[in-house]
Amino acid sequence: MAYKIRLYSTIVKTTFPIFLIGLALLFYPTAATAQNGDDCPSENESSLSQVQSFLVDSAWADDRQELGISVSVDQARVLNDSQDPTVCQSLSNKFPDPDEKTRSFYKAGSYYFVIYEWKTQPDGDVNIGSSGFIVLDENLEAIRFYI
Amino acid sequence: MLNLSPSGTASFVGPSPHFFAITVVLLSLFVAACDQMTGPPADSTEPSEPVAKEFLPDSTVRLAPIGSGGMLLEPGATQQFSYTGTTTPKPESRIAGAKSHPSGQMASPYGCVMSTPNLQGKAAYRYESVYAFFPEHVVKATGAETRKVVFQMNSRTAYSSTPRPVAHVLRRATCRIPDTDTAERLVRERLGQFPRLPSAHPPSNGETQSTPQSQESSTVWSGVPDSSSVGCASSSPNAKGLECAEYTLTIDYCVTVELNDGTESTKCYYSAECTTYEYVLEDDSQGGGGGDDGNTGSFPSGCNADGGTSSQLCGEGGTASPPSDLNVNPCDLNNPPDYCDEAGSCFDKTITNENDRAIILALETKGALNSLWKKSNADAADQSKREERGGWIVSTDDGYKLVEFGEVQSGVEYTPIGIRNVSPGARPSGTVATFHTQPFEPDEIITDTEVIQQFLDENNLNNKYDAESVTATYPSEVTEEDFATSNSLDMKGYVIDGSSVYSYNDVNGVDTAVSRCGY
Repeated sequence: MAYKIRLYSTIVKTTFPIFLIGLALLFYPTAATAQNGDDCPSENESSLSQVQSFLVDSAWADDRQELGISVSVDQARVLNDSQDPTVCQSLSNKFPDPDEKTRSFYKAGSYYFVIYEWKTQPDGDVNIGSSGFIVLDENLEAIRFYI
Repeated sequence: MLNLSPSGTASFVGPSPHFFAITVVLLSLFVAACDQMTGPPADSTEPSEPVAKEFLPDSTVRLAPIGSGGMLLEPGATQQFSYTGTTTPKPESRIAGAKSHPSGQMASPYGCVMSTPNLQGKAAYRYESVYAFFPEHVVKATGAETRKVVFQMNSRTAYSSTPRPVAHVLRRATCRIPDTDTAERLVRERLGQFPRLPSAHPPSNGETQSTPQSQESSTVWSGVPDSSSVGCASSSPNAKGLECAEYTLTIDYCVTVELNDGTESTKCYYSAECTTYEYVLEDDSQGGGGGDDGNTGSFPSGCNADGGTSSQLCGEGGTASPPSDLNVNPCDLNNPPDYCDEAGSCFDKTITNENDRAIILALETKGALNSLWKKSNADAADQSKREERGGWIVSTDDGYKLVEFGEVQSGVEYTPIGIRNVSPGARPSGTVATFHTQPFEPDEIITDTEVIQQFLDENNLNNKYDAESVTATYPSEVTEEDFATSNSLDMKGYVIDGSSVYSYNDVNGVDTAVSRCGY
């Protein structure tokens, strides 16, 4: 009996630290990925449309001219954490996630766009009107706010 | 016999000195016209025994600039359209010749104040006052009776490579004409002609072109080169101008007002949207003699590029409405049309989408647009006092009505930049669409700190930016967010902003966009 107890104690003493290390290794990559995933939200159709509209629609021609933006629409792309980790982190810090809106980050040429959209409210209510977007220069400085 | 080649050069068929003289006279007059009439005819072409002749058109309306200080003759006065010379000039040269010749006399009790696209200057429109000369048989039938008409031609495609979401005004003219339907038809036809598109190569004779070329489809006439010429052929000598061959015409209404002297004056309003264009080519086969050849008439020569210092009354501006006494704002009349009480569009009858037309017309008629627009305080200098307002468009037995969001639910928040907490579940039975106002001009700069602060708060940016250091821009037209809302509610939406009324959905984007007027 005493032997069995000593053996059990030995097993516990030797395997428990290994278990902890394994557990830590198991969760570490997942935690790191989750943190990065919060920085740049994934693309969605309507926010991409907003960027594309700004780049090509005649309604925005004067704005583009004033800002000196001449970028083809196919250059517009959503930023993602794997490809743009530094920019994503900077934008996420600078433009935190609002409570009632989503925000997503796009790049077109040397310009960046922060696009806001209303979330669907839990009670089904909707908000009418523009939710706004921001145009940033290559240094991630806001050069125009659209309300 | 005189032939004019397609390039406009003259040649003789037969050795006749007499024809040579005629040719020289005609060419001189034509050149004078195309040189904006800056000089007298060449001495060598002066007739030896000048005689005065009158050349009144017999089938068309002719327009001629009203000289500096000139004005329309009193109704009932005789049209004075004379030319001193021994030969009959070509139709295009008659007006120019008379104007540049000291003996020429031109005056008419009929005329127009009109705006045309300003293809030469930076302002969008050029304004001109012109005499109108009608066929004698038309004038004789009416005596001194006149009527006023306001003619407006809109287009989404002229001078644009792609259709615009909002039709531009190609021409607006307020005219006093003989009081007959024939005169009205003739002046409509005449006003359907426009300056030649300078940089375009016109198609062959008779070929239609529905979308004349332009490099830019966005803003007003901006794609037309400033250096272009108007009216007189240069790069394409046989191209005379752009003519609206087919259009949808709507007689909006006629207004009768009582003048100070106790008499009445009736004024009719037309609107049309051009659908097909033709390049009008000079018809050179008529030769130089005889009466009117049936051409559609000359286009008044362009204004002096310096802004009207020539003998013509000219002006420029960014809107289609010339600042002139003739161009009375219909909303200032004693019996204004219905739309003057509204904030909507006066062009609603030209909306091609039947549902859109019915809905916008109903909202105008019932005063809903005006009511909501006033509630929006769009004219408030304090931007924080403005409110987006809106409601549900509901189908009823007699058309449509607007039920404001706040009428059917509580908790709605009207803010300058949007309406918050709208409950779709509260919408009335029969709801077909949403409607809301945007109480800012497109691209209006927002500097009010309260409005900016709302934007910063809603976007969790209040710790990142100071409202006093941020200026923002109100977006143009209908936003992607509006499309998204249309999608989530699965119904169309209507918007009225500082310039237009729009209908939209989540699939096609903007369905209808009509310019506002009457307010």
